[in-house]
Amino acid sequence: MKRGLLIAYVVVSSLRASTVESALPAWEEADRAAVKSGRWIPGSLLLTDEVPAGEPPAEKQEPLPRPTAGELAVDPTPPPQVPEAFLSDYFNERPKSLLIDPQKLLSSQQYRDRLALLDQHATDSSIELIVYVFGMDQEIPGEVRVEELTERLYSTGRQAAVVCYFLGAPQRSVLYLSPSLTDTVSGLEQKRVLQSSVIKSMEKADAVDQLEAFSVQMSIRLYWVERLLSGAAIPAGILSTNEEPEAKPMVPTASERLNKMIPPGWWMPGMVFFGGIVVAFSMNVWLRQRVRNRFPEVEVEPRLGGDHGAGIGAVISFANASVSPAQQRDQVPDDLSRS
Amino acid sequence: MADADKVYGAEDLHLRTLSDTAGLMRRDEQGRLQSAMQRFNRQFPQLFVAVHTGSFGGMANLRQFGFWFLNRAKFEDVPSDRGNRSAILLVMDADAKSAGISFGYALDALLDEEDTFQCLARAHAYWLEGRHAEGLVKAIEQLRIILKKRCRQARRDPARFERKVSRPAKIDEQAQKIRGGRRTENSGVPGNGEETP
Repeated sequence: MKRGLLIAYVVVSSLRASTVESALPAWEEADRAAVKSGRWIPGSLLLTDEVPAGEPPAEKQEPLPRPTAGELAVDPTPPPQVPEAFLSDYFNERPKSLLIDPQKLLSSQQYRDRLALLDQHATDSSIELIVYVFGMDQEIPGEVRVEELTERLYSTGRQAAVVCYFLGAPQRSVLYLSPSLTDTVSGLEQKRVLQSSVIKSMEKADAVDQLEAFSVQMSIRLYWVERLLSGAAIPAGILSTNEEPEAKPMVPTASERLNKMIPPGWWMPGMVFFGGIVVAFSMNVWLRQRVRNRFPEVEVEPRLGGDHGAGIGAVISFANASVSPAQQRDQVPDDLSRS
Repeated sequence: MADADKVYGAEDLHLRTLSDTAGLMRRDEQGRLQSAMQRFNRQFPQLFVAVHTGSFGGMANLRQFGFWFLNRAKFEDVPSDRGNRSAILLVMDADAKSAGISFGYALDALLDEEDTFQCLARAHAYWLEGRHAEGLVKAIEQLRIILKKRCRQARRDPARFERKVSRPAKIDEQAQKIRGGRRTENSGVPGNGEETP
């Protein structure tokens, strides 16, 4: 019984397997013949670029177009000028606010923060700092002469330092002083003040932060200018720009030190005196070299048969370092010395 | 002198004032020594210095050799007006490692043994180290200092130097007496202070 069930199970299983196998693909006779004859290699489709049948052809990518001459050429159009609509707000009259931004290049909060700084400076200093804000690429129209404008609007009232600041391009900023300050502050000092402020602003990356740094440094420099005008002593290095290397203290040369030691009127007598000493010394040396020592000539009778001399001097031995010259002093026999 | 001639020869020697037969000095050292000698000769026109090195058989023979050499040497590079009477000879024995000074009659009044010993003592330290030329230069320098002092003394008191080399008066008187007595014997005339028997 059990054996029979087992056989039946095996038969049913085989039948099921065969049924599953029939779903698998089978070789067609034509393909089998082609493979056997060598006309067709299975899998060769993967080795060629041919587009298999049934697949859409690949889209051929066209090369990118080359830039035209017009695109390569520099844009000859001039940078944008300040719109005329804002010129009156900028230049018609002396502004009531210390920060002039009619184009709204700064946001409200940014405007208020920068204005607070300028107001704070105005309360502490007699020189107002007035900042006109322009766009980075904007140009002030040629018919507007800011120098004339400064003279016209700022010749009366408080002294002012007027800055035309280009937001995002602090290096284009320009500084003008009111006429009362222009006469007292040199052009070099004005240049230094502006350069120092630009350098400080360039340390920041953000345009608004640059404006803040510029304003702070300008305020500091104006403070020292004010001190300078009041006659106070300015520490060395304060008024110089950061970019300029600190001048090394001039070390007086030897000739300069000598000039300080000797009054100008004493130079000639000193030279004569010194020259006389040198000449006297040289003469002394030369005369000493030329000196000739002469002795009285005396007649001496010959001795010991010697026609020319019989003066037996000392004899010294240097064979032994332990025997000093003092120990050899009395070595000349009496019979050889002149009586 | 005869004894010395027997030992060293009776013929004159012709050589230069600086003769380094022992080979103790290099050429540049000889040059420096020669310069020192010429400087001495310029400052003392009446004198000259000569240097001779060799092998002479010890200290005792060094004196004899110096005496013989001073009287037999003919220096070729010395002016004729300066004879060996004006010579100061420094002799150095390479084997015995000893040195001595001999001088001519012209220096009898100027130099004594103590002076020459000072010159040799000045150079002793250099010779101990084998720096023979430097030692000789120092000896000549010391000799120059001594002679300059003697020159100043001679200018102040030349009679003193003459007395140093002159014969004592008593000896002269005795010699005259002897000569006078001999002439009396020969002529039969009574001499001075003498009576005939």
